Amino acid sequence: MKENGSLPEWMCETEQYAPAGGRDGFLARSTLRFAGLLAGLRGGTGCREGAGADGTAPARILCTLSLILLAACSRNRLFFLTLLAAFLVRLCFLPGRALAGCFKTAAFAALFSLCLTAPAAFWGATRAVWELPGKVFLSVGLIRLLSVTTPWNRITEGLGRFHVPDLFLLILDITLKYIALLGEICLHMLEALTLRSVGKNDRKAHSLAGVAGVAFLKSRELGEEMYGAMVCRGYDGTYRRPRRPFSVRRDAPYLAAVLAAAAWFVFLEGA
Amino acid sequence: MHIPENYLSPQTCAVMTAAVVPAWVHAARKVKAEIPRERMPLLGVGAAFSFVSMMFNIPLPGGTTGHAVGGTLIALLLGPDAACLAVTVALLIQALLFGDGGILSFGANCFNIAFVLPYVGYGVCRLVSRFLHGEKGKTIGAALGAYAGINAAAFCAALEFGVQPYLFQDASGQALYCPYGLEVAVPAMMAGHLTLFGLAELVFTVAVYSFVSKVSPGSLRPGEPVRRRPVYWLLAGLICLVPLGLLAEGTAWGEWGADEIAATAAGGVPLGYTPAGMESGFSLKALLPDYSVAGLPELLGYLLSAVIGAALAVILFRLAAGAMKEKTDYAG
Repeated sequence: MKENGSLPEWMCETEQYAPAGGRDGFLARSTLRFAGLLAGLRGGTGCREGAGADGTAPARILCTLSLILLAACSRNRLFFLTLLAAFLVRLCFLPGRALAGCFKTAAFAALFSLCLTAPAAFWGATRAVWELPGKVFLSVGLIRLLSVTTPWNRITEGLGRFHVPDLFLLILDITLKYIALLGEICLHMLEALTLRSVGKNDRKAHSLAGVAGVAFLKSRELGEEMYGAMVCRGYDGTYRRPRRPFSVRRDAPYLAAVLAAAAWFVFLEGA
Repeated sequence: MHIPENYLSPQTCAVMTAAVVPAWVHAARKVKAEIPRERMPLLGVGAAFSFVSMMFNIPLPGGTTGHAVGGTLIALLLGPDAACLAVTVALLIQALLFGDGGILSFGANCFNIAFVLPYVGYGVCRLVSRFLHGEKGKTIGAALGAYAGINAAAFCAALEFGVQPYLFQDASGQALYCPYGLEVAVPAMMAGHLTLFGLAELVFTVAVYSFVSKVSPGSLRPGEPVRRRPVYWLLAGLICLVPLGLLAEGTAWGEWGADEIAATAAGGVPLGYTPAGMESGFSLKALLPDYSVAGLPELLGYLLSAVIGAALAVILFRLAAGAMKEKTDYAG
């Protein structure tokens, strides 16, 4: 073309730049891990709050902890199997992602505990080999069920109603909020690193330390800012608690489940 | 029809497993390609139906029992490939958790119950539908398919049992594994399946098929409304009725324990010995052997087993649906 006549020759040459393939598997994995963490923290497990039975967070926490306690204390297999059956039926009605998160975590924990208990079979303690992983499956599954059906802020609020110390709640609240915020910051930095690293770049791994350092500095800064904002808005170190922690109408299914499980436990253990 | 541990030689088990692997691979590929992600949970419901239907034991005169399978039903609802996978999962749960069917003989059981049964049942149904059109044709096809499918599966199991004493004997001529030859195994297996068990499969298939086509036509024909709730209610109702299966006492033919087999008789003559392969063969203790919890009421154990098994079947297929990548039609 004639227009190109005014351009320098080197600008008219077609470039054939093919960067050497770089290995960025760890970057992709880290990015995915942070993205998954953020999705989980923001209730992105596919489960709406109140999906299924519409109970308050304290009722859900009470129900979960009571069932875990009863399962741990019980030596009766029928009681354990009843809880397991009820838990599995509840899982069937969870949305897909929540079900996967719940079941996979519980199964992994049970498998790990099976590895630990398996040697007991050589000494003839075959019951313990199955029983402990079974209880681990149930307990971890119940906790995960609580976490996928109840947002984090509701859980900390619910814990407050059980007179958990305010300082503990403050730390838990700030930690959970900042895991999300810092995760987002790390995610952006990892994305920037991926975009800038064209071709083979051996220094990519060194940059990860930089990402961690920036995240740490940012966390201190954000923590101070948030605490200052809270004090400015009148926070005096205490959480306000409503007078009635439960709503009888909304929490009836959870409270009924706890009562039924306790009665079944007493009946079977006493028999 | 579930072949227990050590009734078949390890060699036979290996051959049967090798025979069923291509069927699994083919079924998995077809299901992945043809069944959309939203319909995958229906496979779990199908597996749960199959699992529960196998818990309804039906007694036969002479002290033996049998049950329906529901393989043809799943084949009619979701296709034979989906039925193959669904029944395989039901059999896996039965073998691992409840000790119903052996671990080594899992491949053979899958060949008979998860492969032969649904494909034959579906094939017969399609054949009948060619000659008899409309809803009536479909119902008659479903009935005949169910009957043919379960009998074909029983016949295969009988053949597998029956060849054992000819192929595997010890130095004294005693059978190492299943001691009954073809002349005993085939009539013994087929008598029950050609009569009562075949009829049970037929009734179960037609009843559930008619119910599903009425309340949730979308489960059969894409584009029509899919209503899962009535199907779940039916499953829950069947689970509640599962203890009826306990009314049938006795053991199904070919499913005796190693301690029972010496007392079994063919033609009025007790066997009188326990085959060596059964005495010293492979055994794995199941979590809930025979769908019961030791020292606890049989009814509760049976009911809980049904709930746990059915729920696991549904969960496993929902997990599989979650793992499937969403198909995007870029051309459209």
